[in-house]
Amino acid sequence: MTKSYRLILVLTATAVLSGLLLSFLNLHTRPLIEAHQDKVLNDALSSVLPGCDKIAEQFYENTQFYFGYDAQNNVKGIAFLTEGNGFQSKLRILVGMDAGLTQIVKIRILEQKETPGLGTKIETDPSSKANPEWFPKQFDGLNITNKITYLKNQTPDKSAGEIMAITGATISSKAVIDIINAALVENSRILNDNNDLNIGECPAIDAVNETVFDPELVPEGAEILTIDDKTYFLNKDDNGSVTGVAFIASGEGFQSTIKVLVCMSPDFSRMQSLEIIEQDETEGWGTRVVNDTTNSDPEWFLKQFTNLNVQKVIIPVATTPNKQRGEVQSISGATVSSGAIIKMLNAAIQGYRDTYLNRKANRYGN
Amino acid sequence: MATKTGYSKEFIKGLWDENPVLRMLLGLCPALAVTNSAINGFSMGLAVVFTLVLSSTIISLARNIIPKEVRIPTFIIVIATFVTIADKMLAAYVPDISKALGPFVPLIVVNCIILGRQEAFASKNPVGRSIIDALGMSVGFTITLTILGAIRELLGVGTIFAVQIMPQSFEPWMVMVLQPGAFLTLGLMIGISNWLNARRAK
Repeated sequence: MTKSYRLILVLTATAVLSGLLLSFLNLHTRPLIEAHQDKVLNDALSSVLPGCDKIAEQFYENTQFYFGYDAQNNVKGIAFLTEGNGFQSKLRILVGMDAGLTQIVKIRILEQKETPGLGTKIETDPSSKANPEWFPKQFDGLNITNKITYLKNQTPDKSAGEIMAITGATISSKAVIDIINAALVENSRILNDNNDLNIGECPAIDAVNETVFDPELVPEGAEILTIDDKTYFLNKDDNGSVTGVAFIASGEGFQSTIKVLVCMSPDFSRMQSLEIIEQDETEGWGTRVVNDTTNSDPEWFLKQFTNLNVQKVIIPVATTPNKQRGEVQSISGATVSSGAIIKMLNAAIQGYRDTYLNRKANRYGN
Repeated sequence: MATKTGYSKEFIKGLWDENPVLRMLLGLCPALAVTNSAINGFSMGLAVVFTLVLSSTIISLARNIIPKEVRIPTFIIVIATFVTIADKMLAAYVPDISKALGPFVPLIVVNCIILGRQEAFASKNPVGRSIIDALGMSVGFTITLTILGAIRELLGVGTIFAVQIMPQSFEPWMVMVLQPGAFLTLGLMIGISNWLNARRAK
């Protein structure tokens, strides 16, 4: 056997043995580790959703919620898991709220590796013999109709959503509050959009502001909603639920300003349609964005946007596009015009999405 | 042939004369990072005892099979295997300690004490001596980390192993449980050990 074969043989044998050993170990330890994690979560859930006979999991928009039901099958409380950065570690917090989302019932810090003796007080404070969990207990029954705020050296008022920060661990205390605030904003929006829970109302629809846009461009039957400087057209069904949200975007094309009407699904995950309102691109080339006479389907470019996934950015491709990946095929010979539309859409969708989706969350603001 | 005194010498050297942290300045990363309490230092030490003793046993047994060209990767695979075993076992059977040690257990793989002992000792000595050497080194490491953790915990929080030592009126020196406390304490400990050695040499 030559030297190099020996090298390969020894190293391979070591790696294979190691792999075998570890996979057998994993078979044995994984159920134990998972059982422990389940137990930790279940213990925490029954503590943040007290007095619930049944706890059911439910996914909305990739977020997991735990609904606690009483004996009459009424929702008694809702819990969710959230995480974020503390002073030096990741904090994982389980938050239980009442069904009306007006109060926190209880929180549990599931994971933290903050500075021992200081930041760890967010979980337990051994220096307070009488009440080592005084910090997390402050969240019991805390009012969350407004943002949670923190105080130092003053008596906090639960009905005003106030928490006393830990002396020497202000950053950890603030991190807990910030993480919960951010999660409450996002999760109450998700619950509001997906569940029949009444948790606040949308801002009133403002009067038409004619200086912002041409009223003739408003799609027929649409309601107008103005948030900040942005105008939305809401399509509603007979029950008054929003079925689509449209807005106008514009940007520079190859030689002219292109103005488009963008229709989005109510959660802004997909485009419903794209219409060009105004353009003056090169006849026969750039104008192919609306009317491509070289193709059997002259409107093929715009049709690509119907049902396009826009959760991430729209990507121009030269080959067959994949709608699920947000791909749109550029027009050869009019790459600048088609690229300009995609670029304008990417910028506009993001801005309009954030403002629209956060409109309900704004009630947490000042 | 190793004699009885030879074995005890092999063990004792790790505690003082060749103490990995205080004399050889090896494994300082975990020594500084996890020792903000006595229990953390102690648990880290135990995980190193487990990994070092088992790795040294295997490496010493296989020392005539492993070609010297691939010895380092082979050592690393063996060490990483035992570290993973230790990590999984801790998570499965003592989840609380596993939670406290956090990311430091996987980092034992790159703890230079372990690789250092394989290279300097286990790959050149018979199994018995290698195990005693590994035990001595890792126990020395554990004692040092526990003392370091205890000093920091005592001054920084007022407790040792979570038992209140300082009177209630004691104002904890927060800096001791933060990173600077680790450097200060370790520096002073190394200084004292050097001073003691210098005095003994006179």
